[in-house]
Amino acid sequence: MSHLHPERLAALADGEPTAAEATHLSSCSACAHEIAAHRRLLMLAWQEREALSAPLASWDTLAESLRDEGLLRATPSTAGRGGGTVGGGGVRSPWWVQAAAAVVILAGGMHIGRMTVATSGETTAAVQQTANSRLASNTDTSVAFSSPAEAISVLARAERDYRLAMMYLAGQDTVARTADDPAIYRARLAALDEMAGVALDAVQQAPQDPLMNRYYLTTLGARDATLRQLGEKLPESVQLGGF
Amino acid sequence: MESDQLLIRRAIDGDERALRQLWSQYAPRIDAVVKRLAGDPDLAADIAQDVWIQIFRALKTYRGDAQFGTWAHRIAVNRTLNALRKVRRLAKVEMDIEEDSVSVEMDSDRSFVAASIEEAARKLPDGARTVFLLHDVEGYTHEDIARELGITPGASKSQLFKARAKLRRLLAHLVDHLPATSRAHVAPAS
Repeated sequence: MSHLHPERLAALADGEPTAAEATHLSSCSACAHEIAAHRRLLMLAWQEREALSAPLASWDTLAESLRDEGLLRATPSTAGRGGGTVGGGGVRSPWWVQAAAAVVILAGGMHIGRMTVATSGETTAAVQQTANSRLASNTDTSVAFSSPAEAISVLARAERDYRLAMMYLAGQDTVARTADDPAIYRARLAALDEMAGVALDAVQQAPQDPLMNRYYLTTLGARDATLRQLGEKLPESVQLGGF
Repeated sequence: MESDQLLIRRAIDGDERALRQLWSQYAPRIDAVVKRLAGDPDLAADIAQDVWIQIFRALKTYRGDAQFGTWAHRIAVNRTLNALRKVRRLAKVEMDIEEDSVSVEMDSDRSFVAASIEEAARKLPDGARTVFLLHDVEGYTHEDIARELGITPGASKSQLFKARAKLRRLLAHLVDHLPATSRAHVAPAS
């Protein structure tokens, strides 16, 4: 049997194979790999549902329309800012708490990333100085936001920048400049496997929890970068297997 | 802590504090749905305003059978699709689906590296993109999608699988070489 069609592989991400397909998949690592990739895609898509957005309109504009519609009593606004203290509705914690939790993960990830960046060389030192400067400004507690919308917008931008920075670092393989011993990567990989396992358990116990999903996916991202680095450090006669 | 039911009762009475509290709590998720489906930030902003007016207008019909967030999410999706249909974007969606025009040909996308699902989905034709977002992100069934878009469940499935096949390639750097749900990851011996 030839390889399964790409659209059929996409369907099997959450569908049942026929008997013939199941037989093929048991002996074709390429097709099995494709289905595994589609399942990861599904997980990313599912996680996207938990994404938060800065409110697209201001309350003042909306309130004006609601008054025109007769849905809002024509009284002066007394509502406080924030408003994330109401429970229920499928939201376990206020949105700004979830967003803040995301920043904790990002900050932790950035710290780990910084620890792996090469620390010698003038260029590296200059980059480090710039990064430190940026981090210092990012952690300046005197920074104030004028609204929750502004804060969530900054968070969204920071998360995107973080993802792009991780991809860039993986491509640059900065760790390899200071550490050529594959044992370092093996140890890190084993540790990340353990972390991924724990995070996966948490996701399975609380599949709706965006925080646990972020932990899991962040760990997978770090594992991917480590795996690529390890692959480049191994002798040509040794190939990665069993991942 | 005030319950949603009490908050909703006050909101129905036109209490600004209650209305604003509901908006503050649910706008980050509801507006994210609108933004995803609209694809265009300016269009999404216009639609979001309309979505929230519709949610508050329909508050009297909310009976608490589903969680408020779920109920509001449904309204947001429905209203957004209606708005897109009005600006003829969805007409193209339905046409795309009718013509079954999505291709998994990737030649034009080889140099494109998406940083996220949302970014990659923008590379899809409107029809496949809408079906993918509704099914794989928003959790709609093919029957739901068929009703919303006026197509058959079979057409919805077909578009979904084409969309996934294309996204899988656009996001190869994110979905390749990562462990799936298997726990049997062992570092290689030297």
